[in-house]
Amino acid sequence: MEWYEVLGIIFGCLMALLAMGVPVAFAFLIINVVGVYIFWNGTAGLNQLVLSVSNSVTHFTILPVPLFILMGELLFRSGIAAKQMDVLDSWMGRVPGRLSLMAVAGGTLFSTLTGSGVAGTAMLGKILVPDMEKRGYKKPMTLGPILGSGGLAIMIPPSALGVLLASIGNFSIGDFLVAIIGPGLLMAVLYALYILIRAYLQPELAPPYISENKLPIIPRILNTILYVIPIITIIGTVIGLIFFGVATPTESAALGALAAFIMSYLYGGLTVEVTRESLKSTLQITVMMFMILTGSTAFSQILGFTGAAQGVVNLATSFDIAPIYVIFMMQILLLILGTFMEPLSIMLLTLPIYLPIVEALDFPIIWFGAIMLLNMQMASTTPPFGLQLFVMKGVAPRGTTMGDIYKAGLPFLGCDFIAMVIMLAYPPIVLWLPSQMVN
Amino acid sequence: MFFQRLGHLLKNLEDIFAWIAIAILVAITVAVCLEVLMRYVFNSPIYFVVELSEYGLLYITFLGAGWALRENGHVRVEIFLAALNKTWRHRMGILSSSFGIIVSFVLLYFGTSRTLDAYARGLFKATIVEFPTWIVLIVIPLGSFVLLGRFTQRFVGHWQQTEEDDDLLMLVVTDEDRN
Repeated sequence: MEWYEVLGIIFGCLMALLAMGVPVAFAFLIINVVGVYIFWNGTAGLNQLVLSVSNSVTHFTILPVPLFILMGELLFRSGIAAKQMDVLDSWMGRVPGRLSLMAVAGGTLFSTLTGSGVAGTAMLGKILVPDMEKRGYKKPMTLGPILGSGGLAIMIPPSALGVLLASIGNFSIGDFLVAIIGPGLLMAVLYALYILIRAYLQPELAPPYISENKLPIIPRILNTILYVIPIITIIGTVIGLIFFGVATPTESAALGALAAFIMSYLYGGLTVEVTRESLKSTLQITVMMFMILTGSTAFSQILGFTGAAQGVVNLATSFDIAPIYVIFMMQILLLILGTFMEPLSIMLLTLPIYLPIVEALDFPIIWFGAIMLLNMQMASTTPPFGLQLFVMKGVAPRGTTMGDIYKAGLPFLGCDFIAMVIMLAYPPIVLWLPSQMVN
Repeated sequence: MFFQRLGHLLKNLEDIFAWIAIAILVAITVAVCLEVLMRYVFNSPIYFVVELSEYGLLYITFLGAGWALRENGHVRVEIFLAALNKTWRHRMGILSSSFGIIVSFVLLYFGTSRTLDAYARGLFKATIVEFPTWIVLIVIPLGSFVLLGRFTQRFVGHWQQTEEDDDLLMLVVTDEDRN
């Protein structure tokens, strides 16, 4: 059998299983079970599969995933996050599209809610949508900014999905977490610019108003010191420890989780209920992600063993066009996959094939990974099936149709796309920061 | 009656496993923090923390797997299902639970055989800790056993058309959307 036939069968079966509603983790495992049975000598292969399952998740380097998620859950559920929004609100003056900008600022700050842009979207939606409605904001200025900013959680460290991408791709997690800071901030700036311009051109979309939340300057500063500075300190410390080579990403994640525990306790938000729900939710997301990961090693070995991976690499490097266009086409393919698949399965599916191509074309892996992560964030907001669109539907005002949400989200997808092009054209935006790291 | 009891037992088992998984997660967090403290402040690293945490991750994954399935925590592509009518959703449910049953059975059977083999041969991890391999592996059949139970329960539920897919209801197009 030719490599493309094997590849076609594997991908076809996987798509069929996913369409049937088989959970992603088990769809990959089914492919693995059948694959190793055929290619690795029957039951001997299945014995080997058990070991491969065990080896796929026993890595100290992926431990930041549950820790980052736990950190976000605690800060969110204990009410510290909501408190921060108040403080942010008190600082914002009479800018056009004030509440929409709040969504961007909040999304950037709460990027601690990692693992899922879903959590970020849900929280921003719950807090901001009622207020936006009351102020007469129209849908493009409510739904869009929240969708975009919720997704920033994926791009701004600490990012659980970022850890997984680096781990599956087998490159330095610490470097990668530092590398995505630049692109993440770039996206936030693009969102803010878009909102400012649109609100300026069409003031009726976001009517200006005087905030009642006008505290005198002293309590305002006190509130900031009390509620915002500690969170920024936690995030800064986690990233700083990695940046200056003091601790590994795993160690700084553990310290961050511990700090989140202590802080929730000090702010009186750490009830038994909050602790239990945070832990349960962390376990659920972690198990979901790691179960998918259990299939990763065997799946990429099957792709390698059958010659499928090599075949695609040879094909991709044989094109008579500039290598950067190959990279660009790879990203477009990811975008298409993103319209109906969720990020982790796209990563599992494509990384074993993509990374050898990137290496063969002599591009920096971290740079490619960062662009891919941005693409994964877009995947969760692209119509028609992006998961976050449905989360948005859940928190949107009554009478909002999916069409409204698609329309509101598109300009922000456009911003993402611009960010992607900038990253492709100007790699230092990704590579400069990690090059300054202390090893 | 018998099946009700069995279902109850399964639920309890899932909950117990999930709480053990949470306990392991908390223990790992504390242990890693302690390790950093010992290394930087007292300059005497605890050498086994890294390795044991790695095994802990496997334990967390498999102990939580059945529980997460019950809670609809395993992500899946739901959009095609949402387009189907109830009868076809149940048919797809039967099909996808069958695949789940196959995977968990394979992991249960071969996981058990690997574990027994590692025990009989007295295998150790080739590290400083020399941790017995079977203790690491045994969680795979344990977790798969619960998964097998939960997938079987799903299968029966869809077969009798009693299992309702709460998650999907959110996606099903409502009249409100059509306007």
